[in-house]
Amino acid sequence: MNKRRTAYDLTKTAMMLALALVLSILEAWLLPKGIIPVPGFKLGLANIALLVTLYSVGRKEALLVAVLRSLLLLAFGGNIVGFVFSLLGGICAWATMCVVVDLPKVSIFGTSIAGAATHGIGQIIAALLLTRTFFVLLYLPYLILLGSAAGALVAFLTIPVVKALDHIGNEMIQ
Amino acid sequence: MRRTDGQSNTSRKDLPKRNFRFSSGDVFILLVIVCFCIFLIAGMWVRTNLSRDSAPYVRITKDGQVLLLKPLSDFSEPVDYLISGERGSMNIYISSEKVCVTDSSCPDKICMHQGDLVRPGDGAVCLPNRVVVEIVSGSSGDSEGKVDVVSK
Repeated sequence: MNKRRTAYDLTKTAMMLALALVLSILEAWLLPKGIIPVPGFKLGLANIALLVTLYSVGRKEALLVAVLRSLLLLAFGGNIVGFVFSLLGGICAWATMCVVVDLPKVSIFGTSIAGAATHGIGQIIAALLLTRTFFVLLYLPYLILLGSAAGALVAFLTIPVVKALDHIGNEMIQ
Repeated sequence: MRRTDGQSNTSRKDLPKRNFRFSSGDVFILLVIVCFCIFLIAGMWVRTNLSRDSAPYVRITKDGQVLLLKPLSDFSEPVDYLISGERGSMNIYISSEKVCVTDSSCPDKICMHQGDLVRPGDGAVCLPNRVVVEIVSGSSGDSEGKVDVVSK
């Protein structure tokens, strides 16, 4: 029983890592450059995988998904700048979501929105480190506001996945 | 026995509660975020508007070091400013009316998509090259330029 559950959790984490990778690549196609005038803005669809892992496997596994996603994206033809951005953004988002998810009266929407907003903050920290110029702070409010809207969409898309995984899990672990 | 409360297969660990409905705490989080952004935008707006009447300067920074800091009025003859380094090269067009990145070796070309930089506060960032091109107003440009050099 216990072994089965561990295997099930491992499978879910691996699935979510694969999903995160596919979504990261997919969203680069969905949003061509220059459409939204805030550089660095992304829908953050890969956050779906992070949220699902957080809700149905655990916190540690969610961090694993966030870090491994950045590393694998680098391996699959990403550049080092994109790696620093997604790593710092992902870790900031994970840390915030772990805290916010336990607050009373906060649903998956609040968790996702807070994660998306701090993802933007993490990205700006990465940009500050890389350029060492305070100019990049100018993009911060727009990145956060757009990111929050995208965060709500991500939460909306995450709910059916978590529910479906619960349903499958109930049938598998009997 | 089959349970369908969604928690049965996950009760081993302290997993987050399954709250899938927009709740009052979410409104609070949204309010905090929006207030923070309004505060930031207002701060920047005040900062650019206070020094609107002073002459605009063009400032080009690479790796935190100021490469060029000159008033735009010096460029009555348009100039193509070239940056070349181990990371890549850039071509920046500077005239007295506008500044724009016309060519860059970076893969994403976000700096080129920024288009014409006209007013103080406008800028283009090229992360792969670690280059920031911006228009600053005279007074703030002077002091910040010095601070940047000192902090290096």
